[in-house]
Amino acid sequence: MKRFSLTVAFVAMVVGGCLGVLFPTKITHASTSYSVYVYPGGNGYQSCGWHATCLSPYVSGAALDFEDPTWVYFRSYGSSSTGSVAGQGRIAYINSDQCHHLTYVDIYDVLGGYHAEVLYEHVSSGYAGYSFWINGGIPASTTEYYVGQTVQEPTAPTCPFTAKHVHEQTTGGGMSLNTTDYLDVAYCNASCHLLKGNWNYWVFSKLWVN
Amino acid sequence: MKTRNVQLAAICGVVLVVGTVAFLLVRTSQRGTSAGAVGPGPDATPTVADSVDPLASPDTTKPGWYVPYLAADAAEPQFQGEIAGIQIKPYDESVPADEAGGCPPGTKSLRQLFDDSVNAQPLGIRLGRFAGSVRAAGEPEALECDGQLVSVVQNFDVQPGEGGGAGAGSVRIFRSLHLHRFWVPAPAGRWSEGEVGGRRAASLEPVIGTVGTSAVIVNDSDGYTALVGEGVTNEFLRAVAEEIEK
Repeated sequence: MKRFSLTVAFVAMVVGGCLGVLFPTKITHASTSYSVYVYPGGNGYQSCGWHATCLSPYVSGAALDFEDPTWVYFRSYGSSSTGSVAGQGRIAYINSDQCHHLTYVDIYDVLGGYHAEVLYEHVSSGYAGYSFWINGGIPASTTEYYVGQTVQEPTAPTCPFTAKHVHEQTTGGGMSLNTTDYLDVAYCNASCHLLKGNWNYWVFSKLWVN
Repeated sequence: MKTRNVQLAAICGVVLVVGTVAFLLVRTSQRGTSAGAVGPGPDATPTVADSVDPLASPDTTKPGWYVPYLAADAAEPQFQGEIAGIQIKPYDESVPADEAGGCPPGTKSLRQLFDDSVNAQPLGIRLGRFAGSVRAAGEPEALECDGQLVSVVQNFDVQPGEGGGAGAGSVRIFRSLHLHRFWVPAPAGRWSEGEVGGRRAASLEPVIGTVGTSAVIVNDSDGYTALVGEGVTNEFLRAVAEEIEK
């Protein structure tokens, strides 16, 4: 009888184990969706529509100009489906030829994966290498981080720029442009004085899933 | 008969208990070894970075593991000086506009262009074997003086896993025909001198792994080719630079 019981127990163990293999726990790697909406870096009015260059002949592109705000901030509304932070911004600064003071904010997720890049041109920054959290959550929450200040680039004929301003452009990661609220350079160029910057209308957006 | 029923009930009980235990054990062990089940993920809110010892081996599965490394790097003095014949220093903001910047001496009428056709010219950025993994993000921006091209700038996205790290990255490429000056703020310890394609080059390592700005600035005798990357290794930038310089 004892042998019989042991045999039954062994068979039960094998059958149970086999059933465990056949019907495993549903393993789900919960995905989290993130969004970052970037807003104007200054408080001034928009001074040029979507452009590559805002001098005649005007060329459309992925940038907006805003009147000189002096202080320039990375501003965003961020969200994540789990309520965590949306990501991290890292500041880089390059001055390549005296015509271009280039301050970049590269957008990463919290594990260090790169997602997008925003350029603040004609902005000098002493914060190269600095990083900051881009707030997220449910609902979305704001981030405002000081990145630098506008500079007067040498003007024509030395450099092809005019008055102090911030040229806010997406330069990587395939960010979406807000072409609903902001017009193209064909409709808003050198004499443009349309929308107020700050938190009124987002400029670029990036959504991703991890 | 009664004894038989008790024995049957006992057997059924053993089958039930042993079978259930075996079933649960197998399921549990499978969960622990699945590739889909990971430790701390992006759902976790990063904790205070200062509690991490920057000198310890990083646990790259922790959200924000790189933050103390970036903070320590940003706190160091920034290098200014000459490497490989390239001046690494910011421009003097007090220099009058007509003496500074884009146009070489004796030329003027600097003009800004956004046109892919500049890539057919001597300053064009031709990526060769990297054309699939390093993709243009927007049009190249060029400057010309008296109708002659003097500099080109273009931004690129690096596809995931192609830049030496697991994720995606970005590279900004600058080429100038008359300048030997460039400014990327970084501590002296990350700069070094080397060679790219037989030419002298200044090299900036990332802060750690592929985290932090990396750069390669090749001295082209009559100007420079500079690659500034995020999320990529310095070795990757050097390989791209060699391809451009061919």
